[in-house]
Amino acid sequence: MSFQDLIATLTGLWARRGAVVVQPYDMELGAGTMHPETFFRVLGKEPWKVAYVQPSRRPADGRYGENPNRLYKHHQLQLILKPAPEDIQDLYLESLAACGVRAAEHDVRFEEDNWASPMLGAWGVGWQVLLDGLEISQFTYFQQAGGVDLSPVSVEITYGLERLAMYIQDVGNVYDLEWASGVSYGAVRRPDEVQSSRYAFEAADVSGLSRGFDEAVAEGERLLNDGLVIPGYEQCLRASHLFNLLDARGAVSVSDRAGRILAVRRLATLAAARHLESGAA
Amino acid sequence: MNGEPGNGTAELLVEIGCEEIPAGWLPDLVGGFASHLQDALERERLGPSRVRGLGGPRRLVARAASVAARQPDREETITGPPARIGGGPGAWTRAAAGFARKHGIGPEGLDAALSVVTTPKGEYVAIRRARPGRPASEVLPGILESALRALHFPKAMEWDARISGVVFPFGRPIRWIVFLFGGEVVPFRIDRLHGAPVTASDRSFGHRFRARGDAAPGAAFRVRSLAELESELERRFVCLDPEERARRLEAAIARREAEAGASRATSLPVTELADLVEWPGTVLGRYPESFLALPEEIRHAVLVHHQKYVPLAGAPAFVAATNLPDDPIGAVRRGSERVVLARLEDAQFFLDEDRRLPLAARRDRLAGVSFHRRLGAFDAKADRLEQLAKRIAPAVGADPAAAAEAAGLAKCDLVTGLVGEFASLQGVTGGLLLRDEGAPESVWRAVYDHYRPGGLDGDLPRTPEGVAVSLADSADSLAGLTLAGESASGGGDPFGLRRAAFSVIRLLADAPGVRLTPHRVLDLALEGYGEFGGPERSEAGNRLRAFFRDRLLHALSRGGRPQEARAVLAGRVLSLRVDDAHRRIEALAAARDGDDLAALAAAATRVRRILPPPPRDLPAVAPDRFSEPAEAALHAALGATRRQVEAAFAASEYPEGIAALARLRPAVDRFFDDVLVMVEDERVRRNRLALLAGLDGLFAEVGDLRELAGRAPGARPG
Repeated sequence: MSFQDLIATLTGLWARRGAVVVQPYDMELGAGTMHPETFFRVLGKEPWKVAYVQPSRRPADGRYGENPNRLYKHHQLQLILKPAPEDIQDLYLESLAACGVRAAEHDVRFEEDNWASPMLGAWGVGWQVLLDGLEISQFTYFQQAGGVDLSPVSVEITYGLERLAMYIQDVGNVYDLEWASGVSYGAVRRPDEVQSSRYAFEAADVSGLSRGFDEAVAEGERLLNDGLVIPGYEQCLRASHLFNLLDARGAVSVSDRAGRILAVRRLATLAAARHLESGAA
Repeated sequence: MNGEPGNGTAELLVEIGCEEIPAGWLPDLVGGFASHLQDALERERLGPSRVRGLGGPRRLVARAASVAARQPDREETITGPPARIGGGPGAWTRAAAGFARKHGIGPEGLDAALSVVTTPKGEYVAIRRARPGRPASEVLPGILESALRALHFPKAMEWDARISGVVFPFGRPIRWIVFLFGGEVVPFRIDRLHGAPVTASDRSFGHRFRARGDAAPGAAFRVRSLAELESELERRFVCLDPEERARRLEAAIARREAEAGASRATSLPVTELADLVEWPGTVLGRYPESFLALPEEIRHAVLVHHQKYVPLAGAPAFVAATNLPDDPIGAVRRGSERVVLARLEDAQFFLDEDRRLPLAARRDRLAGVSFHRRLGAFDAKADRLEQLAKRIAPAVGADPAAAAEAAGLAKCDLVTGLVGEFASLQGVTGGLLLRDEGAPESVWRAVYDHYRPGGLDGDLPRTPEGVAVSLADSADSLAGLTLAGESASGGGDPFGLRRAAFSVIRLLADAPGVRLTPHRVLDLALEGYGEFGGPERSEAGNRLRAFFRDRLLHALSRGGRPQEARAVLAGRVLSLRVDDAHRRIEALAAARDGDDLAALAAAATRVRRILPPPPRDLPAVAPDRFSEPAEAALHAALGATRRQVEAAFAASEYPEGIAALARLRPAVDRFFDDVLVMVEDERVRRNRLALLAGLDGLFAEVGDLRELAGRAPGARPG
């Protein structure tokens, strides 16, 4: 099963189970959780099911396209089901079966791994799903987002697509994955990895990033106070990514770190509050 | 076999089927669930019945072999007005009649129903009537609810559940409930805000993926008793008994050891591994022999901390616990090997990178790693540790220059790739890099060991220089964080102050050749912060000493001797060496078997009551003013005993000193029997008080004996 077949299989499956399939958010995100389709939809009472692939940037994990397991940008398939169905573990295991993983031949385990995002004011409890010792998914019952206690409780399943594909295709190097028939992951993505790593570790203009961060925070606050929730939240996403870039450059001083994380969290908290006030949830 | 629920007793069986419960929580939950059920059964008078707890990652099971089918009937007494306004038999007043009416008794039934009872508050009119017991089936739902609500989770979750309309957080979502009394289902329901409630039934589930014979994997099956549940689960690859699961895993690992011809490298808690799985299987994995060149510590960090695999010593192999009876296509073994290989390659990469720069060259970069918001970064900490370790070194038998060098380098591995990836390798990484660089053993070992002991029971650093650096590190953290206003309170100790204090205590008590008092260590550490803290400095110092005193009392009270610890430490907690205090406490505890010490403790209490508070301004004892033989006898015995006690204590022969003190008892007893201290004649009185002050002073050599008054507490566990 190629990388693109894997994506098609999983999104098709969850679409048949009633999920709205949306596209990746058109901004730099660190994880699928930050997509507004997760952040806002888990707030409030309205039931919702959504699935999407999110290319997720972790500048500090960039390895110039040389490490077989680490990437500047990897792909998550993100699923949110609200409220969490009672047979969600079984549904998840069926989705693995659809990808060709026969559970009876493998050691599939749910091991405690709780999730928290200080920047989003969010946390949840759950597991990492291990397939023969390899972490292939995160499974989280959201408890709080944007500082707001959540009920109904949503479940988030994040499939690590590269890891899962490497397992299914039995390859040891991510760049050797078959993306499409006869086309490797490396052919599609390696230049991006090399250049993005160079950008993050060598070329990015630190003072520009730092200014950009401050601007995003100020702009976000202004927009959110004007009731423009999604544009305001986008500034929160921008600030978060700029923080990650600064961090990868080792340019976040100790005294800076806590303050910057707090600034992003304030935007996230404000966005959540404005969203709920607007009655959109 | 399950008994008859109609009368007599019957088996009670509960299974709470959950999504995967964190392994680390399981022992407390299994034990807690059983004991909460037992408490509730006894409270509701359906016991006593011993409740047995069982369970695994997907279930908590509790079973009582014989629970009463009915609460016993009992007589209840309802008290009404006081007898003085209610009258008595044949002469009940209107107040008594009103009380009776309220409880459904008419005027004609007063004599039959009412009586006068005597209570601690006086005499009252009362109704006594039989209250029939309720059948167990009515009471059991409430019992289960209270047992479930009493469970404590390190982190509970909201899962939109309600019992009896009240919100019901739990560790993980509950998916099924088996609740049987005498084989019959007891009604019980957990409501969900969305979707179907979880309702008690006689249906359980086995292993998700595997089953034997005609049993279908993942399908429900019916049970009537624990015996049936256990045997049916066994067919479905669930071992219900945590101890049995651990035994089987232990045996399975041993078979893999034999297969590999190598034995376990570290002692992993097999019980926790066994609580990760319902069925304890194993695979034997291997990795390329070339990785044996990686230091063992790093290989083990990869295997143990990241993968929870069991490393084998000297062999490129490991045992992985699995949740399966077998590995039909070898996928589990290959998968675990692949993960381990990737991790080892990562570790090798980081180590190679880290070796490019000498450890000492990283010291400047510590400026970028925060120690604490108000205390700056780790570069400043390294400077302080260098000074502190140098000053501590002579008192722990360490070479000051080597200790200082190690202390200055100890934190440099915080900016290595290896520690960034494997936090558990702090210290170890620095030590290994220094060893590779050819640093002297006294230096690299001290860096390697400086996170030891990490508490009251951890392994000690192996060299005096390691002791010096470890002491400096923990004491510096204690002093600095306290100056910065941090503290440990209740369950919260985000900066690990308790751990640091316990490490210091363990080092001072048990590291060979240490000659330092806690007082001295804390003062040296505080001095390292110069004038930091300003006007609150001395207040912070007091808080630090008070905190340390509490930890020390706690540590020295272990083994069930809190009274001895308080006695020995009274008034001088931090100025006694910890090893010395420990020996004194041991001696005192050993001497408490006889009566003499208890008698002297009573005497010590009495002496303190008689003596005026200090300063006492009493004259020297004048033997010519003695009028009673008992006075002279005590005076003589006191002098002789004091010499014996002082000589023994000076030689640290505490049992001998305390034995000498115990021999003073007859003289003390006789004095108090024969002599009245507080007589009119002031000169006689003051002379007698002076004699007692001398006795008090001798007691104080040993400690505050008043702490030992009263019976020794029974041998309490812990």
